[in-house]
Amino acid sequence: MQLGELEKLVLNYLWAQGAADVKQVHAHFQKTRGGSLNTIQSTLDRLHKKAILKREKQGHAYLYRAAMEKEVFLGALIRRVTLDFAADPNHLLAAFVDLSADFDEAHLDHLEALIKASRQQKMDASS
Amino acid sequence: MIMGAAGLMLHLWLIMGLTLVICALCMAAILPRLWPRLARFNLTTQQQLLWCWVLLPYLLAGYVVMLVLTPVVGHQLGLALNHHHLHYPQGHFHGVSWQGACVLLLMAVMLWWLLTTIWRHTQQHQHLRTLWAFAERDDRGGYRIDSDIPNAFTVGLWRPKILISRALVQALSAEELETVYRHELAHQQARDPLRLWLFKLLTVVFVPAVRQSLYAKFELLIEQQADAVVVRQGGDAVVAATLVAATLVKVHRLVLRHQTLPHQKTADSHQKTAGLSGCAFYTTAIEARVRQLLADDPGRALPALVGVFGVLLLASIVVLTLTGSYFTHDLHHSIEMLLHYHP
Repeated sequence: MQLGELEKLVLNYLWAQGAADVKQVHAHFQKTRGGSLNTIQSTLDRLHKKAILKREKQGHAYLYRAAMEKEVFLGALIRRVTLDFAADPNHLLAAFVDLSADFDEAHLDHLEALIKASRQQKMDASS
Repeated sequence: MIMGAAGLMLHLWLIMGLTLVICALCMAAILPRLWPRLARFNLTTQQQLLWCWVLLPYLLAGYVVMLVLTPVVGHQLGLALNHHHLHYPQGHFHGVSWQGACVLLLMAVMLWWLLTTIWRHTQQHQHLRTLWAFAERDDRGGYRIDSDIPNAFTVGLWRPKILISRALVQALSAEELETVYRHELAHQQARDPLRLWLFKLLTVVFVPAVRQSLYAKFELLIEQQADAVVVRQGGDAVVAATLVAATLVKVHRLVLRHQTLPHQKTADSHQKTAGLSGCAFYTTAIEARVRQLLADDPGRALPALVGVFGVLLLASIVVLTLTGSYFTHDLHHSIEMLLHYHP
């Protein structure tokens, strides 16, 4: 999924506002970056086709809102970047945590106990 | 029949390809026996040995090609002393033969690999561009992103960048966050994404199971090396190692709790199976990293003399080959007979 600069700005605006129609979005961006109503309409349509925005008809116009919360959207994006990379042995990033790795709470508890025991042992050895 | 330089090139392509495949298959059989021995060395030496391992098929393939070309090259360089005959670079390549079938197969495999790799990299590049569009630079030169997934990573081949999610920033103490940041900075300064990519490129000749095993091991070493860098920067080694290990466990716990949230289960359940398969030693990478941090013995280094000896040995083999010594003469003719290549 690729987002252009205006698409990103519109998305950020809708996350902040909640919902808006094309005139409201255009009015907001006319002050800051200009652009025609058609440009804003095309951007909203593209985002809707990518399933990033939802819309409902209100009178003659559509009211647009983000299909998911910002954190959820960005979380899905990160997951796509990291897990898609990790599932594919060709990944090119170095992550602090491998999101695809298999571990559970019991395993982590065991490791925590190991760390505590090691720290205690070394403190006793040094004293 | 394809003659002249084109025929010679096809022969050389076939020789190189067959050598790579046969070498990789033989090495795949030996590798399981070598894993336990690898663990005796320190992190740097283990990485060096892995690089040597993945380079070996290419060195051998290059050597075999050199053997075929020896009489011509050695003569032109004025090095060949005892030549009974000269082999001119005129190959007669028969397309309708087992050699032709092998060359076609090798070309098809390589083309498939190239196309799928380009497609995958294009997809990844697009996803990354979208991700960067929503990231904001922080005061330390890294990037933050408003994500609910607690993680940090370094990504980018030529100009690697550090990305830390706000969920992680909010969940960790200042000390723990500093640990994570320094770990990622170590990746950035060592250009680890590029090293991972190069290593991955070299492992392409191995069978998938061996390839994943080698890559998983190398990736683990990269992470352990970054952990070690943070420990060295931390002053008291015991305190620093414990802090890094504890931070590692805490972040993993945060990730696990995030993944077990109800709305995450469906999304993540099919992806959890793509774990670090083929890493024969350890249950998981986190255990390996924690044990490495807590270990008293960092492992031994290879003596410098071994490296010097290796370089001298390689240089000697190259010189002996180019001067057309007795054993190279026999090897050269053996290869020609095997491939029915007689100019």
